[in-house]
Amino acid sequence: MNQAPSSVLSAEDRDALANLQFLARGVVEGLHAGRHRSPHKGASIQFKEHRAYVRGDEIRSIDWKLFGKTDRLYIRQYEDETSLRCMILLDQSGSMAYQGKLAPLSKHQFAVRLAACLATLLVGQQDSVGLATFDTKLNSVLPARSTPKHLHSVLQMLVQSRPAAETSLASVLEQSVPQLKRRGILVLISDCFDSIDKLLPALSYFRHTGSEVVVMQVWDRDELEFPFRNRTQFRSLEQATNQRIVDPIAIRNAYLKQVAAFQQALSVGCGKARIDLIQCVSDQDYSKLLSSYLASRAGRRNAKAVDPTVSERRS
Amino acid sequence: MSFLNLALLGGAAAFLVPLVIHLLNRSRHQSIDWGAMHLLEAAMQVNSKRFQWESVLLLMLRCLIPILFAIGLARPVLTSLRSADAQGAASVVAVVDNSLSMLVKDGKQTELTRFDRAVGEVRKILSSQARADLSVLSSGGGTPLNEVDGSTFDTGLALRSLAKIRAGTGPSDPIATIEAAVAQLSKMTHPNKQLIVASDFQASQWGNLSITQKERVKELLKSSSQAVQLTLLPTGATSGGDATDNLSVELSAESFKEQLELVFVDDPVLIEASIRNWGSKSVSNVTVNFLVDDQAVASEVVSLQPNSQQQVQFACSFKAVGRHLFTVKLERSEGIADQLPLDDSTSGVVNVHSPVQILIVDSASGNRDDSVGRFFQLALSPMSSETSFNVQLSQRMPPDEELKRCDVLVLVGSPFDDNQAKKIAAYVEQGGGLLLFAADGIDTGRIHRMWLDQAKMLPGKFLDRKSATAGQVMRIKKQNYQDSVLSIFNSSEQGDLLSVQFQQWQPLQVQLDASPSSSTETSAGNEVSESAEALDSTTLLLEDDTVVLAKKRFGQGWVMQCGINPDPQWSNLATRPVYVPLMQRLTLALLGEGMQPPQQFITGQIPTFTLKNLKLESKDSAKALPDMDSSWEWIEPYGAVSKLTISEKPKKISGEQSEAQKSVNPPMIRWPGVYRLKGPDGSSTVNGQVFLASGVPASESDTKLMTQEQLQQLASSIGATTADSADSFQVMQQVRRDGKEIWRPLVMVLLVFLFGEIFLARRVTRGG
Repeated sequence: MNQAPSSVLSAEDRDALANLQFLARGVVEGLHAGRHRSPHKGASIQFKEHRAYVRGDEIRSIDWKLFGKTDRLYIRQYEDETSLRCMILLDQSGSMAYQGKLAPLSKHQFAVRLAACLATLLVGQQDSVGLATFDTKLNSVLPARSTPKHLHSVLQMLVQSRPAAETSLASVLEQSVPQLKRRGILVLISDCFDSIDKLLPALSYFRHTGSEVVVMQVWDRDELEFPFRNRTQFRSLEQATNQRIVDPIAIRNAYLKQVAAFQQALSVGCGKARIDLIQCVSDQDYSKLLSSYLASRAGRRNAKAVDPTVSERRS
Repeated sequence: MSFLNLALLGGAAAFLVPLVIHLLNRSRHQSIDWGAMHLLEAAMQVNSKRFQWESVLLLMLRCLIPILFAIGLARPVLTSLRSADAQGAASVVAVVDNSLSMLVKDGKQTELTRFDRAVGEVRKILSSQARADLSVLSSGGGTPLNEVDGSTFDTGLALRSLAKIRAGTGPSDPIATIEAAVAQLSKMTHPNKQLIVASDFQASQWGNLSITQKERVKELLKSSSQAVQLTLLPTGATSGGDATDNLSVELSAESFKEQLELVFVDDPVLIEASIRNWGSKSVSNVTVNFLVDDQAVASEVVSLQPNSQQQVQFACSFKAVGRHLFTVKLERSEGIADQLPLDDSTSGVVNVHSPVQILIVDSASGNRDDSVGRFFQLALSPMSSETSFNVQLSQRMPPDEELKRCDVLVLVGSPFDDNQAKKIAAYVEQGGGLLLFAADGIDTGRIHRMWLDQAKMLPGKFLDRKSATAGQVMRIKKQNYQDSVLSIFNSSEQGDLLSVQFQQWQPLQVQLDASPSSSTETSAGNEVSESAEALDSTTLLLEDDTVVLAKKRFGQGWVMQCGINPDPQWSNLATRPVYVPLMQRLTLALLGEGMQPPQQFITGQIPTFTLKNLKLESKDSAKALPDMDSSWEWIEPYGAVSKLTISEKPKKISGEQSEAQKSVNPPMIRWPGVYRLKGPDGSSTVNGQVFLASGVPASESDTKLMTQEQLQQLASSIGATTADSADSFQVMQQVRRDGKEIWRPLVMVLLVFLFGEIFLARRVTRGG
């Protein structure tokens, strides 16, 4: 992984990602008016809704045409646009080092590329992006910025990332709270091999602060299909003393049930907390993965945008 | 256990192959650095124990399969089944049931009877016995009959004896059969003792053995110095349990007990027969024919429901004195199946008598209307008629000619002088009956002097007359009478003996202990006198244990001495309901053997005829008898004729004098039907022949067999085995001799193991 930052992303990847339009599902607070909606009502061309006039409202915002029709004072509210503030949390625990025999990348390499794509995309559209790497604790943190120089630093940090040690997702998320003081988007790229009961409350906290949370769970194909036949000694990537010799055939079904149960529990928990969960496999094309995810986000946004129009027509 | 191909047992070492493969697999493994350890550990917690158990089981199966295969190839023989007694040549007793039920043909396809099958299977068994000591018994109709007269090493002789056996006898007795066979086996030489019983095993006989009887059989089989191996060889329908279509007829025992006990010329007689349908289908239009002396007399048509019986009565009378044969025969209409026709007819014999002369001599009868003689005459009046009982009352002794014609002389008191007393003694000795009543004015001194001291005719001595104390009466002691005269008073149907109250009585001094029984009942029921001076068991006791009635045989006649009488001053006997039947029974008891009713025999009984019973003495005297010994013939129902010998029993007549009592002893009655004892030419046997009829018990007509399960249970309970055929018997013999090869069950186990291995391997490979 001792590569130059530019080598992290191939030219093909950069071109592909440059065409993507990252559209946040919610409006995040930002300093720069950009392509992203803000939850704040303000001067904008995008009408949102009418509201009854109350004292203190600016006179200029009164909809006089509507007053003429209804003899009542209403305020016109517009959607504000703002720049996106994204914090990427990259898991570099030992378990992320696993790479199946047929997989082109390890889970960690896949996660690094995914993070690089995301950072490049965001900076490219003038959004701020930060990066934090962690295992049992936050190792390195780069605050969110939108300059190209900052992107270089981000990529530099990604290149220097090495998987090691155990995972403690919940405590890491608690530590990363100061890094996302303002509402924004938190992207967690990890295999999430930790207690779901602790992970979900920690993620939910960010949802409660108004931030959007995206979990990109990275799997290796071996971990999902358990294709081993011969008697095998499994050595833990996180604890050197943890070794098990098993007959893979004997426990394959039970293992796959455990995997399914784990995925199900995470999926249900994320769904309840309105957290986007993206299941990634390390042999997937990450640029396509990102584009399909962003396309689905855009679809949800457009669907949501229909409602104000309806309410406006009614009023 | 031993092996026929011991070398191949070494192939069992092939079990090392799966074991080594397993161990090699365990020692070699690949290593992988794994991330999702928490999921792997969770899966292992769920699966590891069950998987380990299944893996061990699979390994065991894989090791056992080559071991079993090698053992199977080595042809193991289970020698624990081998019996030490079964080694070498055998002593074999084959019992063939030739009873009536063996003539049934089971099934519509076969023409073979159960007996044919039994003979066929036994023939096979006997033929296969090399150097064996053989014996063949036929078990039907009583105690088993040894057909080879002991045992033989000549198989040909045994087979010829087997071929001579005919079926159709009365039922076989299971216990007697095994007793006789074991007794025969104990006399035979080889220690390997085999008893084969080929029978249909009727449920009514073999199925009803009590626990005691089964224990008896077990004891019998073990009692011999070498244990006897009993094999039951059923030859009936293999299904068993189903009733076959069969009709049967039997004479009612009540007919003989009441109607035919004493029959006189022209007396109306009612003969009752019981028709039974043993099958599961109702039958109609069955004609029941009644024949007397082979002449059809009457017939009746009956219909019978399944498994039911119906009584049919025929009224008739007999015109001539002597024994007459009557037969009840069923005639089936077409379409009525009957698998056992031989039990469709049965016969009986009735002994028809000339009128009985009874003379009562009571000197007081002329003066008193309530004399003992008149009361006695009154008691006999219900059965008095010109054709049966001719009763005369007289005040004095009759002339000699009249006394000779008299069958029973009743004396009240002592109305005779010394000369007449001697004539009376001679009359009794020649077969007359004497009933002597104690009465007022009896001269006991003369009686004792003439009949006790000189003739020794009386059963006892009259003691002094006794009277009841004031306010108290004497009664007859309550007891259960065993003799044929008084036994009918055990129930109160004929009146209550205990209701009689005695004011006066004259006790008898008799020696009961010295002579507990003067007659013995043979199995056929004919009485044979064993000791002339012995008392008969007919004895009446009062409450104070004094004897008031005793009976004794004297010469060819009977004397009954009675210390009580119906005089109102002596007792209220004459007014009690029991009086009339009691007097009648006492009179009939004195009629002598010539008047004994013929018994209805059943198979398995041995009849005995004393020569007096046959009245041979009347013409030629005893001197002529030895000359006629060889001329007695015993003719069986199927025409077999055998010469009978005359046996002699020592018999005391009086004091130290003795003479031999001669009797004819026919063989055991085995076959149902009519037997004839033909006397020597010129003898005075009635009609020249003596008829004797026998039937089979109704249970023999019940052809229902034991089921396979019941037979197995019976065999296990008596320590026997069962064999379906001679072939299976020989297989069993081979096992007992050589042990049993068990490669077949081993192959089955091997197959089970193979399937188990496939199942477990798939399960383990699938990962549960």
